Amino acid sequence: MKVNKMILSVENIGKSYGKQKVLHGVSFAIKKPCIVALVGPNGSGKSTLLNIIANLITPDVGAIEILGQTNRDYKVFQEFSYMQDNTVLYEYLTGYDHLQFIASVQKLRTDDIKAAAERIGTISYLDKKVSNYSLGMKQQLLLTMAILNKPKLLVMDEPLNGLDPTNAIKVRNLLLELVAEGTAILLSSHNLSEIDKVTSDVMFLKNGHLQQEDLKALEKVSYVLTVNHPENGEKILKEAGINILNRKGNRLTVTLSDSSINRIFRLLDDQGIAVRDWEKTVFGAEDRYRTLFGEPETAVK
Amino acid sequence: MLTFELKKIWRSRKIVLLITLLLTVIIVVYISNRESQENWKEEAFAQTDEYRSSIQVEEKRLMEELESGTLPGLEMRQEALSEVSRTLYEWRNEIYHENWSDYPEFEQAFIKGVRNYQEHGGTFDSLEGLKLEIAEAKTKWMVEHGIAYENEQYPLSPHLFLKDTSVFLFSLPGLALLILLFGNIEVMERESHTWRLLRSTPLHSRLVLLSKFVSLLIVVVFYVFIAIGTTLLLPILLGGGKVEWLYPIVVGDDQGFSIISFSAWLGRGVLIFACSIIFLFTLSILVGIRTVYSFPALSITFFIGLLGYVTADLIPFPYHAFTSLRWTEIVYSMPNGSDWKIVAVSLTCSAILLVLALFTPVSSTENRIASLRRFSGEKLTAGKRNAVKLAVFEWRKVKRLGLFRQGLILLLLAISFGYYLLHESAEKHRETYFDRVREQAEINLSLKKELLKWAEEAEQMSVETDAGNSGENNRTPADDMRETSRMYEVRHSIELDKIEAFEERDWRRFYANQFFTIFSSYRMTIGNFYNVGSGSAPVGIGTFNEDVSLAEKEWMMEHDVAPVFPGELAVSVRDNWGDHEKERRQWKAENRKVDAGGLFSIYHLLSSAMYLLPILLFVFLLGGGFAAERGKKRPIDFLLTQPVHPSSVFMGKAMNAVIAAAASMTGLYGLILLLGTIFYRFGDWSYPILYYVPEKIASGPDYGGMRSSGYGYGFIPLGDYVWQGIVLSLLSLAFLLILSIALSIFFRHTATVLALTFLLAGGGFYMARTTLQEMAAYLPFTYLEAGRILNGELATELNEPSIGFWTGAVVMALSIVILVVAGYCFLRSGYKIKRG
Repeated sequence: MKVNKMILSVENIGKSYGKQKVLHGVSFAIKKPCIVALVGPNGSGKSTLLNIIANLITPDVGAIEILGQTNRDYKVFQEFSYMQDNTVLYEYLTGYDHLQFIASVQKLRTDDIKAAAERIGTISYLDKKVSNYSLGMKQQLLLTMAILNKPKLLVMDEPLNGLDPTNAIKVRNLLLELVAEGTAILLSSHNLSEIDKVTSDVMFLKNGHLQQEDLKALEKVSYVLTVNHPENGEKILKEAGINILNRKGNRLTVTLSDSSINRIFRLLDDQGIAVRDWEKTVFGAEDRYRTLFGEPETAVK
Repeated sequence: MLTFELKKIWRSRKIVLLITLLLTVIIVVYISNRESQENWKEEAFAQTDEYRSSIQVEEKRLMEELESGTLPGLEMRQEALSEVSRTLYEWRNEIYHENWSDYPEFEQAFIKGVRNYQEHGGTFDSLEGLKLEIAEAKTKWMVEHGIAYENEQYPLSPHLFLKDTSVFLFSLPGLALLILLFGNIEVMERESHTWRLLRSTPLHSRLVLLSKFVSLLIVVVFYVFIAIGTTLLLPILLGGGKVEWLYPIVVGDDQGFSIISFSAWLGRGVLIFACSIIFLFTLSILVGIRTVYSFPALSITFFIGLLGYVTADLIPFPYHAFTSLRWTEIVYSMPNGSDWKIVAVSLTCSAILLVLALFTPVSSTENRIASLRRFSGEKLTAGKRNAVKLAVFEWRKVKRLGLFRQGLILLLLAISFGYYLLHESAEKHRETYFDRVREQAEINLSLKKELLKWAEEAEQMSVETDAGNSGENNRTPADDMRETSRMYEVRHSIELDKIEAFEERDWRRFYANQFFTIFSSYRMTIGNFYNVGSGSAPVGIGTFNEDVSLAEKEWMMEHDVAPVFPGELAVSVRDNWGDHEKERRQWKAENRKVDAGGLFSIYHLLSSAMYLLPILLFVFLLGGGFAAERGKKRPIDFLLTQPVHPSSVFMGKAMNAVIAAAASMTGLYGLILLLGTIFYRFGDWSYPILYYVPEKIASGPDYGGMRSSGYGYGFIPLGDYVWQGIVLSLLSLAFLLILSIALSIFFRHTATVLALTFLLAGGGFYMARTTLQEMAAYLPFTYLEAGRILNGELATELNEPSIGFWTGAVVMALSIVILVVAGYCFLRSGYKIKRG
């Protein structure tokens, strides 16, 4: 029976720049295909950690293994992809040139390029030079490059950067598809609401220390109800012991601890209050982020 | 906006680089001058030696004239000559005591004496005509202003040092430096996409452009200030002394001269420089508007500037924009009111270019869509090895970037233009040669007629005096004259036969005539000597060149090769001109062979080391290696996160660079050959190229080659020289490229890598001739100067027979292999490439 290798093993990584210690004893592992998010404020060391995993930076201490091999072996890139920022692109080359090069060293066919490009939606501008790409187009090209070799481990640095909502949804769905196909994904992002939609495995990087959390345990589900009589509705639900988070206009935001949504609808209906619309939202990453890193300063009054 | 532009210039550190380069050059020149000043006194003496010789010649002549009879005024002349001799003695005494402050007075006294002697009917060959007038005027100026004598050849005084270095600071090198550093101020914005930031401000684009132009003017002012300031200050700080603003500068030519003060000369020079650099800056701005990258913008600017400089005389207007580029010619010409015309025209042209730039639409950065790609299902292996795949990728990058193509176009233009100039020069040399032949024929004919006339007169006088003036074998002076006249008759017919033989393409006859001319000129008579002082060695082309000239003709007769002009006399490094640099240069210029045939054109490229220019360009374009992947963008991170080892990336870069550059260089040689063959002729493979044999071989008992004046020599066929030179140049190219790419493993910035490469090459080249002479044969840097390797000049200079083509080829090839293997192994060992 074949023993599955650990997909990613990060052990006791430490890194300093001069006197500033950026990473302290960072350790984690990814054992199966899943999505793990790496979250932290600007300058917290996320990119440093990802670059260390990709062997672009050498840590001061610690070791990393990818699919059972040391990350220092360049051959790991046959099954591991690292989606970086767009500064790695050659401005004077076309998108196709980049993909062609990867396919060449990965021993793939032109059909593979076409399939990846179609999947991401980059085929229409592959023959243009990168210097003419918008930010979103560059991100999509980077994504195409990252999935071309159907990696078992995909590390992504801010993959949703610059994407419009349509493409952000596409990428989110793509990530979920990739996991289903057997790819483990480690991504860093600031887009907390998007992270919440794709994974509950979140690692917070604060002051160089890693804190892994399963947000499912911290998940708070809330419902936003649009009603015709919001004041009455609020009163009724409060009397029934339903937690009302806030009321804005004719919208009530409620959380359920041990009730079901059906109960709320029945309570309102019994009192003749119509529910015109409702939406479910999940609070998790943003709340936890606030707890760990504090409230952001108000920028605009 | 102007403040912003100046801040950008400052923060880009170009000013720091400019100051560093200026200081480096100034310090190097100063140190060199200081070392050369050690023999100042001896040089000052040497300058008066020729006067002493002239006095001796005149004394001898006066003695002869006195013996032949008392001619009126002879005693006065003798007195005048004695005065000249006395003043010279006193002058030399001042030199001996290094009394430089009184030197001009004593020099003036001597010059007055010479003038007085000439007025009394004497001649003074070494100081007459314009030379005497200049000396008079200059010493008068110096005495009037109380200025001491200074060493003008290797100056250390602030004013003369500035004059000396101004050729670099304010002429072509200074202009080129400023254009290189600041000429892309406009195009750089679009190249780095920062133009969008400027366009999103509430400022008109023309105002932005104007502020750039004004910032360039400020750079010019700064440059002039720094250049003059440092050049004046350095000698003051290191050697003391003061600036002599009134020091006399002689300007003019053979037609006339003028003495102007140093301050006036400097002012003139700065004005002309300012006009020329402003013109070039406006040209670079206009060119930059229509290009997208700095490289083509700067290249086009350089090309137009150089073209204008070289062809300035061909433009049918006396004053035009490019006139001001001929800085040296202008500042050393007599001021005649034309300066203001040059300034006016130059500034007007600059203004026109600026207005054009303001209203010319900017070139779009939108690129054409590259060729459509078909997804054919093919496997993209492009060869089994990663290194090959990477080489293909590197070539694709080179193609897409476009700079390589632009560089090649530039080279093609330069070669075509260079060939045109060579063709014109070759035609001119041929015409000049035959003009001289005809002139010489006429001279010989008139000498023959003159001698015959003298012979008749001598016979007549002999009959009248009834003097039995027969010498040995009853020969009379008239007989000698008739015989000499026959010799001139023969020479006359030989000269005419040269023309005929050339027209009939009878090369053997042609060379036979040349052989006779040389032999009769240098072997049958005393030769081309003039004596310099008593006891000095004869000065002239030297026996070596005479022998080589004769041997060359014999070779050419044997191989029946077509002539190259002028070609009668051979030019070598072994002459007898001694310290007479001016005469040596003139002789070399008059006798240097020039031909526009295919083979000979390549020979010119190799022997003049001009082939190094395309090599430098290719290293600049392709030698960035890993450093080119770093900077504002970091595609190196893309390469390092692919399943390819950095060593394969290194090999791919090396392969691509060497193949692309070598193929291009070969193509350029092919183009030169083609141009030469179409417009002139292919050339003779067997044409003789002089080869120097090192003393170690020439002095050996087994040496069976040719020898002259103790030096061994021979000839190698032109064809062999050319193919060997091509091979050595290609190996040099490959070596420098690999060296550069290997250095890029360790150094982050492309500029650093390229600078180090050139520094190592230059330093190694220098060390091979000095400190590491014993190892020179085994150093690759030795073989960077193919011309002097192939003709044995370097081997002879270092007396190392092993320095030659085959050793060079092996050493270069091995060095390339060692560098490649070292780079490969180093990366294989786990060395982490610096990301930037």
